[in-house]
Amino acid sequence: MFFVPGIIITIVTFPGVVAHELAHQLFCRLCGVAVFEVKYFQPANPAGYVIHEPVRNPVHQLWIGIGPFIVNTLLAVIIAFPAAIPVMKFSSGNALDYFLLYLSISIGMHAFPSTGDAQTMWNTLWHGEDTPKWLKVLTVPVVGIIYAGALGSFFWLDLLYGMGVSLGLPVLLIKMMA
Amino acid sequence: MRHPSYEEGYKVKLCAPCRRKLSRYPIKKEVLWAALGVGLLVLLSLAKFPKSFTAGLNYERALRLEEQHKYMSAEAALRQTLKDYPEYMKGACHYMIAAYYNDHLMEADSAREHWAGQTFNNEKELIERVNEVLGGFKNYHFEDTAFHTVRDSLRNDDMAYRAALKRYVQQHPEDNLANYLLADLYFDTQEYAATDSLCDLVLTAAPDFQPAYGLLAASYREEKQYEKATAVCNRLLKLNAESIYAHTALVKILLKQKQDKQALEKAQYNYRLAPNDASTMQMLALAYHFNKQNKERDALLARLKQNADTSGLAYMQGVIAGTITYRD
Repeated sequence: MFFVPGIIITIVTFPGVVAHELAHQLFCRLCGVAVFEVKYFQPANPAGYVIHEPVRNPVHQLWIGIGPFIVNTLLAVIIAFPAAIPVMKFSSGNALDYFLLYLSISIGMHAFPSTGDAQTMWNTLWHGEDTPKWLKVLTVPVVGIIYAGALGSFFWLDLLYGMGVSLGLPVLLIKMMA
Repeated sequence: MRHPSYEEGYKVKLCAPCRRKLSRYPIKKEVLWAALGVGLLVLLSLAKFPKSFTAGLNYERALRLEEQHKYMSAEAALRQTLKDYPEYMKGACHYMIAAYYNDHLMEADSAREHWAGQTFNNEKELIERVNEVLGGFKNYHFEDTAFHTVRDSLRNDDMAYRAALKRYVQQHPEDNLANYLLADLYFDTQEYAATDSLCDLVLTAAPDFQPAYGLLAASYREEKQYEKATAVCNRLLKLNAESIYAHTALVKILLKQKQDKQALEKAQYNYRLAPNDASTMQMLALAYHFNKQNKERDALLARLKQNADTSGLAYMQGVIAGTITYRD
C-alpha cells in the first residue's frame, strides 16, 4: 500500500467534491432548509462545505447527511455505464470513455458522507430532543458506517467504492442479464 | 416578543418566504455549465451505448453457452460481438473455439487474423483451449502435405485416387485425415465393417474430429445397428450439444426406424439451429415428406434449389419421387 496526501487526491478528484456539495445543497432544497453558504471546492480541508440552518424535522438531517451517498452513487453509475463496457469488456475505449470514467470514479469516491457530515448528524439526531427513538437507532449504524468509510479511506476504500460502482457494476449487470 | 411572520419550530428565525428563498440558494454558474457539459458528453457516449451493451450481452451469453457446449448458439452470439468489436482478442479466441466445434473451419481459421502481434497472459485456461483447437486443426491436413496435390490431381479419377489413398494410409497409418477419407470411400462402396474400424481408429486418436462421428453413425445406421448409431451421435452431442452432424444423423436414424414424428421434431430443432445449412434443410424436407406434410416440404425444396450447396439435393429428390428407396 502507498500513501498519497489527501489534498492531492482531493484536487485530482475535485468533480466528486463538487457533486458531493451539490447533493447536500439539493437535499437542503428538497427539505426546505435554509442554506447560508456553499463552497463547492477549495484546495484545503474541508475541500467543500454547505452551511445550512439547524433542521426542524430531524429526518431532514438524515437525508441531507446521506444525500451525497445517493446522488454521487447514482451519478457515478449513470456517467460510467456507457463508457465502462467498451473499456472493461472490450478494451477498446476512446478518450471520451476514459474521461467519463475518470469523472465517474471521482464522483463515486466522494459518495461517502464526510466525518464532518457524520458529526453533524450525530449531534442533531442522537442528541436531539425531538428525535424519535427509531431515528436514533438508525443513526448509530449510519454514523458508524460513515466513520468506518472514513477509516477505510486510508486503505483506499473510497477509491475501491468509486471503481466498483463505475467499473464493476455495469459489468456485473451485464453478466446478470445475459 | 415573537415576530408574527417567523416560522415556528426553527432555531434560526426566518419568515417562510425567506426560508424558501434561502433553501433555493443559487448554484454557481460555473458549476451549472460544467454539469451541462458533462451531461452532453454522457449523451454523446449514450449514442454508442446500445451497440456496446448488446455486444457485452452477446459475449456473456456466448460464454455461458460455451460452458454448456452449445457451440452453434455461442458462435452466433460471438459473431455479433465481433461485428462490433472485431479487434477483441478474447472474443476472437472464443469464436475460434465455437466455430471449430461446429466444424466451421474457415471461420475458426479467420479468427486467428485478430491475433497478429498481440499477447495476453492472464487467460491461461483460454490459451490452453485455443492451443487444443489449434492442435485439432492438424487432423484436417495430411501429414505429408504433398498428398494434398496428389488428391487434387486425382479428383476426377476415383479408382486411381482410392489406390493412391490406400498406399498413402499404408505409409502413414496414423494420419487421421487419410484414414477418415479412406473410411468414407469404404462407406460409398458399402464396406461398412472397414468403415467402422477406420472411424474407430480415428476417434481413438482424435476424439474431437467430428466428421468421423457422422460417418461412423451413418455406417452403423446402414448396418441397421441403430442403437450403436444413436450412441455415436450421443457421444458427439456431449462434445457439442448443438452439433449439426449429430442431429442430422439422428434424424436419418429415426426416419430409417420409421419414427417419423420424432424425426420431424428433431429435424425442426436442427433447422432452428442452422436455418441456412443445406443439410438441416434437406433433413427437414425429408422429415416433412415422411410425415406427409407436402406443402412444407415443397416450400423447403424451393429454398434448397436456391442454396449455394446443392449436394445431396438430387438424392433427396429421388427419395421423394420414389426412384430411390430410403427405407424398407
